[in-house]
Amino acid sequence: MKDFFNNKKLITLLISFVIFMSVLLFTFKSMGVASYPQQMINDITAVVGQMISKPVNALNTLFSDVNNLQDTFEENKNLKKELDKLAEIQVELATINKENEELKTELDLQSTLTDYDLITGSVIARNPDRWIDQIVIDRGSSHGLIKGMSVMSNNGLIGRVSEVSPTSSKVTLLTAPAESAVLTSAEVVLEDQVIFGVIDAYDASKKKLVMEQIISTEEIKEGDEIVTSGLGGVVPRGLLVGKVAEVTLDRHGLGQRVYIEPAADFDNIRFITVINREAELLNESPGESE
Amino acid sequence: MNNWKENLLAIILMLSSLILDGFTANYWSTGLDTNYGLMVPRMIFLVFIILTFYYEKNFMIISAVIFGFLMDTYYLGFLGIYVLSLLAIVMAIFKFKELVQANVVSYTMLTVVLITAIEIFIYGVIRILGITGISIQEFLVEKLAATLFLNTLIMLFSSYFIQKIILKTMDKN
Repeated sequence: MKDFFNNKKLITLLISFVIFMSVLLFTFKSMGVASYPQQMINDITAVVGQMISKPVNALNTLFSDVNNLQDTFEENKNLKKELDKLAEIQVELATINKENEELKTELDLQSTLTDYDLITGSVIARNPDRWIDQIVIDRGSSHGLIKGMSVMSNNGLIGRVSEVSPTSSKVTLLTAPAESAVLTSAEVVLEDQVIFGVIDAYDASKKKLVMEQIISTEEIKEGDEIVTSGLGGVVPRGLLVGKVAEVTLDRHGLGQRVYIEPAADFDNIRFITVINREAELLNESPGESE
Repeated sequence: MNNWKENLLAIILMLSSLILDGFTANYWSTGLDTNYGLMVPRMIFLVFIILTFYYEKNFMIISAVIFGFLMDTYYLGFLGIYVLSLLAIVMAIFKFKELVQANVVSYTMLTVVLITAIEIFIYGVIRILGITGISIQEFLVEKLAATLFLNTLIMLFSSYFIQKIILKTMDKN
């Protein structure tokens, strides 16, 4: 005990502590903006990660294809019925698209809240301790990604790009703890109107997203769809988030709190789609919501 | 001084465990999130515990800094936490080496002690930085217990084989 506290070791310990605190606080302050060495390390590690994840993804797909073969006959029967309806829907869609384009031209609209491109990719790794619930994907700035882009998987919104390197990126999920949550402006789609709110938390015990700041007093029912509203300048409009699972009062008892059953399966994220919104992305400072 | 084959083996083990932690967290996330809490795979910590018994201090310290840096950059986005955690494991094992033999029982006991200490340290730093707001009771019940269980099991089943590979490589040289 006495030896441990002799001068040399104590000084080494104190210097190490000072270095640790300095590095931690400096890099935490610039979290989300990786320096060039960090980007290089991210990319090199991501390449090694892909050497494991890509073969496993391929095997996974093979096994699920084999499984699907067993249901092929039934599925084929159902698909043929749906094909009959599809032709009708396609004609209707073509007419609506044409009308939409004509209206945009007439109004001289360059881009709207619903215009976006898609960039597909796959997941390489996930942060094991989940203090910051993040995944690492195999798409980066060289594929057109920038910080703040929305990411979807299994047809549901899962989060936003939080750090970009040339060939890989980190995506912070909607399931991150409230203190580091990805705030998303959303709307509840009712028959005759739309109710706005903000998805600002994830209830880990219920496994549901939480939407608050709902000013409207209109009744929200279980099963109502929730999509992104496009407001705030970051996420395009119309991305499916999930369905209403439960409606309660918020912590102040003044507004409604909606628990959302996510459309995406956060425990099974293999392939992702990054949404490149065509309307101008507003610059987002760290810690701000959209 | 370890030769290049021994060093290469150590680097491969460390890198594989670093990648496997993230891979496991993604592909078995349903299995890891149990009713008894979230199990966090810490294979890189386990590998460092075993390797420190057989490799030189300088090599292990440099590896701890490099792989800690890799982990911080790849998984967190900010530096410091895993660098210090791996360094602490290396320094602690060098003290314990004088008191215990290198065998499965020692590895397992050291896993319990060191992972408890490291997880509490990481929780403390994360809490101070404001990234999480969960109480220490919730952390102990929902994360630490399940994490210890998982990593103790991994150590029990894999340490013998890792030890054998290391000893075989060292014997050949």
